Amino acid sequence: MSEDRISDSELNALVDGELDPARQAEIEAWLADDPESASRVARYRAQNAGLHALYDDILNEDIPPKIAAASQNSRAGVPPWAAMAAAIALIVVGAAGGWIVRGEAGVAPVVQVAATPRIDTQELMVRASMAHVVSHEDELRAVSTSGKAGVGDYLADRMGKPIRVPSLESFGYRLIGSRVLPDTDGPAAQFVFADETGKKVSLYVRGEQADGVDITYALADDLSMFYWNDSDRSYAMVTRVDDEQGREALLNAARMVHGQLSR
Amino acid sequence: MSTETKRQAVVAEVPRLRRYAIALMRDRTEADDLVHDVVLRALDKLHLWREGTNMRTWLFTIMHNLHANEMRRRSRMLDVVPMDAAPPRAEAAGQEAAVELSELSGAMGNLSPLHRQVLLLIGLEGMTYGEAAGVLDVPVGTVMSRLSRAREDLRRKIDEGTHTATIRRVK
Repeated sequence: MSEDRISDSELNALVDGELDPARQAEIEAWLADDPESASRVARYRAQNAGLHALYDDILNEDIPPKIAAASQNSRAGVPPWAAMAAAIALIVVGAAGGWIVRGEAGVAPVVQVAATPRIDTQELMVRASMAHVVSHEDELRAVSTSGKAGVGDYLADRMGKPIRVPSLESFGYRLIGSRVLPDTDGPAAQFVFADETGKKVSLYVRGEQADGVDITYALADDLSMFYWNDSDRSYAMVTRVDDEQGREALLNAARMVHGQLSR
Repeated sequence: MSTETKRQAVVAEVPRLRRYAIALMRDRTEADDLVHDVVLRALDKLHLWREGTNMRTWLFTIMHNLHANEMRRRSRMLDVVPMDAAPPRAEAAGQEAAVELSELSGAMGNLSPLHRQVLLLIGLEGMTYGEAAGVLDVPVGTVMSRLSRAREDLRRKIDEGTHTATIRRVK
């Protein structure tokens, strides 16, 4: 061997299989005469084997429910123009009533007649925002010791149909209470969440037959809302939002809840 | 490739994303929060993924960016690194390896995050230097020099066998 010692980068490249075959054979032959380098190669390979021994078990673990729920996102991969087109087709009703309704991408609405049976967005918005504004903790049924299961049972009992209890824990919002409210098509449910500063987000759920509506943005005064319909229920997530970031957060929360409820 | 097929391709990478995130962050709750955010972001941006390119490195790139943002956000906070958050060591695996697993785990915890990243991407995930450079958004030469220093640092730390139960440091 003519070189004093094999370079660091070539030793590493050997361990990582980054050398071309001819150079690899050459270096391996040199290692026989360079015990120090040979020992480093062995140590590096042992490090890699050790990392696999430490962490490979994780590959066989069940995917945590929260991540599984996120991966159910039904809007996945819909190009923005498609979501926009879907939203635009659903816009009309609210616009006349003083609401500014927009597609998720924030493009001004084009008023046109919707082709499919649509939900009564005006009714949904009024009811969801009123319920949000008047949602003092005193008015809500607190999440008691029976926890989420208790909340679900109570609501299912009064609505006559099972209803899943959504979770926004991963967004830092805790369910503080729920209640049943009268609505035109039977009882509606409201879930109220709050973060540690007391900021509230609420979810309004009312029975309503429709062909299904993708998550759509609506704005009324200082309340922002994302609503959708899953064929027999309409949902509206409502909060007070003062910037683009807050709106984005609300959208992500709506998507998460949408994923949790539509499985 | 249909949207559903792409979505499934993202889901199929979740175990590897978790393995890397847990090994990197050494806190399962935080790691799962990160992977959760990666999945949401990836599904949201799925139309931006170009067919024929590597889905795994695309997802790891998203994860690296989200993690880097989060670290910047916290840069002034007291950073507590729990050392016992590493997963339980595999039974009997690697008995003859020159590295004692508990010492390796402790030494990994004491590596700088930059060194840990590059070591995990290449040593554990089996990425090429080029792929790791893409994920970390640095030149290949930087990956190689970081990797070389990381391995030597890890070797020294294992030899010294010095690791404490918990490191607290103010960045």
